[in-house]
Amino acid sequence: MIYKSVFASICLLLSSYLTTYAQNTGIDVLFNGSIQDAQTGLPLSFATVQLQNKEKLYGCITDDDGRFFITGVKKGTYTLIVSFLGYQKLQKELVLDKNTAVNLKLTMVASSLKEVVVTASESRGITSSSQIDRAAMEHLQPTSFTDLLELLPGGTSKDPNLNSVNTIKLREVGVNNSDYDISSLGTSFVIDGVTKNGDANMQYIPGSSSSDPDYARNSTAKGIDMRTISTDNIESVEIVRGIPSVEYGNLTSGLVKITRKLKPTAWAGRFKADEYGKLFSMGKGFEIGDKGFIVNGEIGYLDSKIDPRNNFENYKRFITSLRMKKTWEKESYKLSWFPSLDYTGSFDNEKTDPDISFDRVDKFKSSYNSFGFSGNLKWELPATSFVKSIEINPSVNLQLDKLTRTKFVSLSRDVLIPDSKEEGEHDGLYLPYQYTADYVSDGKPFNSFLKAKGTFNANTFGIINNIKIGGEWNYAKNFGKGQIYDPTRPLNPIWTTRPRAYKDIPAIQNLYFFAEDEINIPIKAHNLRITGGVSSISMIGLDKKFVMQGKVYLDPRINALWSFPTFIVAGRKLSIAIAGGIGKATRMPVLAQLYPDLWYNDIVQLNYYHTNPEYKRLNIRTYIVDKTNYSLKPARNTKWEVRADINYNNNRLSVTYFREDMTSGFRNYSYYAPYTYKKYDTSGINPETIQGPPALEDLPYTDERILDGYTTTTNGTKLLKEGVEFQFTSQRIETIKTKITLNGAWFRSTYSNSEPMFSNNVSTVIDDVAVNQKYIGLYDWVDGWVKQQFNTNIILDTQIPKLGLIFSTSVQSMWFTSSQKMKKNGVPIAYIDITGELKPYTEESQNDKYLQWLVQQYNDAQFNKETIPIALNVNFKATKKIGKFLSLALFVNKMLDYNPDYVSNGITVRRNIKPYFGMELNLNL
Amino acid sequence: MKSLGNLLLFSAFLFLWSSCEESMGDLQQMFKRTQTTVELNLPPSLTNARLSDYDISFKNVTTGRITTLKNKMQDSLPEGLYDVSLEGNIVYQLDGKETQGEVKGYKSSVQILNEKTNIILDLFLHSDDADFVIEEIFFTGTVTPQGKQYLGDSYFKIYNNSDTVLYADGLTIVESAFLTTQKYEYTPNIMSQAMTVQAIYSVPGKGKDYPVEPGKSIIICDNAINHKIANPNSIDLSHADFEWYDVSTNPSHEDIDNPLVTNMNKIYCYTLTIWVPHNRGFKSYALARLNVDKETYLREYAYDYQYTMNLPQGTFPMSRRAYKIPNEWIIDAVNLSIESAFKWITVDSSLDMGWTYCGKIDKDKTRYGKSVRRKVLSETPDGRKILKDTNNSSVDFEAEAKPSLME
Repeated sequence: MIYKSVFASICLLLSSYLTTYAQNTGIDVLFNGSIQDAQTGLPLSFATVQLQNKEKLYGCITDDDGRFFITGVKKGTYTLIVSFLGYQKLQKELVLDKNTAVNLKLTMVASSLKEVVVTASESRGITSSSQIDRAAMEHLQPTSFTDLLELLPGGTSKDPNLNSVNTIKLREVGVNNSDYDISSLGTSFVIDGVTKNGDANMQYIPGSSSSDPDYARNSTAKGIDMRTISTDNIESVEIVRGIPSVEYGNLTSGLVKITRKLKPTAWAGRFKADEYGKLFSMGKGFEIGDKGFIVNGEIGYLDSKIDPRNNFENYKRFITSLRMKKTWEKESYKLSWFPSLDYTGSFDNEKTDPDISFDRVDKFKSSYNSFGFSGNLKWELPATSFVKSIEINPSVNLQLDKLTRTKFVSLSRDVLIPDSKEEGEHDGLYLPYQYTADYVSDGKPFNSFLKAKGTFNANTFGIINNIKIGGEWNYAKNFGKGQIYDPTRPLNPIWTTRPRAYKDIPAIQNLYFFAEDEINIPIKAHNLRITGGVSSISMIGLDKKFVMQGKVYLDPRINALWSFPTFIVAGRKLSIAIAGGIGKATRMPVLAQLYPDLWYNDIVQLNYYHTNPEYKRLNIRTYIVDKTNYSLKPARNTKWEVRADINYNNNRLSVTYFREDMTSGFRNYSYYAPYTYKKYDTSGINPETIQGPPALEDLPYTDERILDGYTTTTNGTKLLKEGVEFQFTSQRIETIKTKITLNGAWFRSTYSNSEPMFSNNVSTVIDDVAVNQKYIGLYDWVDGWVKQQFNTNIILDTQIPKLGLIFSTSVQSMWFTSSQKMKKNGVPIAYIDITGELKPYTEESQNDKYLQWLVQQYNDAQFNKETIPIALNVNFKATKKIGKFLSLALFVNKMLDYNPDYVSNGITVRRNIKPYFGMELNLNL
Repeated sequence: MKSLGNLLLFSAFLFLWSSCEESMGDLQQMFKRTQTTVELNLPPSLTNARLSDYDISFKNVTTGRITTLKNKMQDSLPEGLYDVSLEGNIVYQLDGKETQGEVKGYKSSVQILNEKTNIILDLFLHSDDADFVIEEIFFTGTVTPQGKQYLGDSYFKIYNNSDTVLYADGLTIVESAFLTTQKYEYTPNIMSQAMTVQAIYSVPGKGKDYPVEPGKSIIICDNAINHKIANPNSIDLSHADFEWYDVSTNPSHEDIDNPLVTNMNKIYCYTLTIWVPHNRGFKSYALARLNVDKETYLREYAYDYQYTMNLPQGTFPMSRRAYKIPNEWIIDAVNLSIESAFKWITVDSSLDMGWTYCGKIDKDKTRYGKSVRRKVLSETPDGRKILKDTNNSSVDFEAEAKPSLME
């Protein structure tokens, strides 16, 4: 209302000024009238009314009742222009020679007449994908890209979780285990044609435990952190769940294609507040001149607290972007250039409250500053020519990442300073009992991307082939100073790594080529569309020792869509299409997987304690082990799906069955080997007569061997995804202005290993002998889970455009989730001992004092299928336009719920549901 | 005392010698009889104590003849030098309950002379099966001046609560595998027969290497070093009797071995790292003697059990292997817990029916630098303390006490 009165005042001021001007001329008339919506007859307030001719310009804005008046108009012929956002501009010639009153009606432009889609729509394309438009995003009120995944089949709303990396998992139940990170690593994000590359990310703290702030925020080798993607500049998103075109490579799971706004828009402002934080964004698209030059820009800021009561842990995001489009249109071609400049800043902070904690100095800060430039050049020729288009997409991106961690370390014992630099035997020193440790990880991942693509027409045997050929070069290198810290004051006293400069790590370069042909074969009234292609990926510039060096991995993919002719059933149109596809998809490993940190294995040979600190002596034997797995191969997935799409009277049902099979996913695998050291015997030393630290030359010792090991990346993960996805969309039921969307999915995901595994989780010490330093068992087992879920979301969206009101109710039912651990036999098939040889594990071994402990104990009940019954939550969202500039949106997730108690292994489990709510204000000026 | 006794003995001898000269016949007849009254001082600090029945023995040092008075305190005895002792039963109030006990009193070389002699006998509680008891457990650790938790200074104080010399050889400290703050249905349930343990450390020795006098104690600690060097708020344990030393070649868990202090024998431990008693006090501890040799024990006393863990994330059927200590091997057991999280006691109630504590809530910062200490029940005439051992640590122990080594 305040705005309205402000505008009314402006109107008055403007009029009075004009009046004054007119009065000076002495000849004037009054022009007044009202503006209405042509369809509803409702008055339109804030419409702009202009009168102009070569000499004069008068202007006004309509009031609350849609009325306007302009006084002191000089007699003459004018062009009247009435404009209002969302309505067609009205323009007419007018002769004003006396006081004139008009009643004018404006018509809504076609797009705004059309209702908006507030859900994801199932694509009508050749493979299964979900399309999410601006309107759906506005109605959903997301904080980050993560929130959009609710709209996919199988997705449910989740509260923002901004103190940990948000990774994407498509078509699966999901498991919280880093051995299955290939799910997110294998999903490619392409923003305006440029692949987002996180392959050179090395921001982590070595060996951080789950209680460390770094643990959950470490996105190394996990793919894209969706927290960093703001939705405010996104025009539309397509999430390809099925078999993507061969144009897109270096992925195993799916493809996320983001298209950002590139069109003239009003000033769009957004302010969102919820229990976890505040979000602000502002953007505008301009058309400069009429030569086809468009500029879009925006800024956005997110300040989020993980717990509203805790000021010491937060996540902040700042984005700004400038995108341009310049088009040169000639008769024979059209050339477009899309340069863009982007900045994303992402900041994690966590420190301990200095008032309530002793750990005053403890803090964690991880910042990520990404600067990107891309300049897509597209040359389009008439559709009839052989070459349809040529596109070149160069892009560079530099990230300045800094992770700082300060921690006050207090020790209760003498601990070795882990700073050995060379292999061999040497004396070690003890850490002080108290010190402040500083750790910095300075990463500067630099990515360079170049893609070239041509599309061609070819006519063979009367069939048009749409051919796509292209290539992509992806370069990722980290120029950072790396892990910087004083090894004599380590953050973690048990570190087995040393400072390392990331810039010394070689770059990785992936070279990708693809060729695809699409044909349409009309068969009578039917139509068959086939897309088939093959791509190749290879990692170039690798050391010869790598198995991947010189290897080219081919991914053939084919999709087909058969459309039946449209029938008329009961007077309504029925159309049916079936589709299917099969293809391979390959993901290359990332920098951290190819070049792991060296492992420093320090073995204590002597740790002589004496009350006189001068007489203490610590002697160690250091082994430096290169953990690089030279036989690492890319992860490869085989996907196939079949789909049916039925459309009857604008009600649409789409059902997809899919299966994905991967046995070469990246996994952390343990390797063990014997290590020799000297065990010094100090029992002969008389501590009361000793005159200095014991001399090693005089000390008796025995040569001992122990087993020890490290983990490194292998291709040992098996991930099998299977399921049915469906979406039904009704036509809008006019009487209640409501459209029903039902979507959901049944997923069955199998997570396991594809190779036998050594397991050293025997921590027993028997008779002063650590069993796992003597023996390690090899188990021929499948370690993993079969997880299933079935969910449906029913979304009722009611739209009353006249009132500018959209409200939706989403009933999200997770009918069940189940998890079943794979049956394991805890008896090892073999074991290695300190000779390093693999020996069979026999009946006799089971009676051995030490070897009996290699048998892992399992409670058979843990292999039972555990099913969690229905979890039903009702979410409510509403958007209301207030006036023509303002819209208010609010949401309450889990406003109602039905989460009954259930019995699990004899114990009743109660579930507590906490609603999540917020609201936002959108301004369109 | 000893020299005075000798003197008395010598004078008595002279006296007898002179008497002999007069008559070597019926010596007894020649001595005058003395009306002897025994005054009994009941053991101190017992409430409502009364003797139920007792025998007072007078042993004539010269003749060796013993006169016993049953349930009476007066008699006439021939004059002479006597050793007076009392054995009896006593009834007293303990924690609101009437408790039976044995008492003893002893006085040597008492002159019974003249018409009347009054003998004052200090009584003390006695138990035939008195043994070592856990006198104190310091498990909470300390805090450094910078406010950080400091571990490695925990200790067990083991007390000889008997009136004879006992040997610490083979004395074993065990930690329960179960938490007093988490109750699960462990199957098979063996609690009535044995305690499930996850750490077993024994005092070395061949049987008589480490004598402990009655009323004396030994300290068994984590690191027998002067902890004040690393943490001024801690204690000096460099004079402890034993330390447990966890051998490892891994620098991430290197224990300290003070060569001046004898190491415990590590029989079994569940962890590869250094064993520290649960510093929030959620476990039970016991003192035991392994009645079989180590090899037999390790071979035959493993215990496989199953249970279902119940966490906010869901329920998890588990299977574990630990060791068991038969209840009859256990000399003393103490359950530790905290008020806000106590669920059950993890030993059979015949061993300890209660529990004691440091701190009232989980991660209670006030617990640091406190220990649990067994209360004194009574004292013997020679100043030896008799510690209260009713197999109920709720009443036997002083919770949140000041550690004895900080006094």
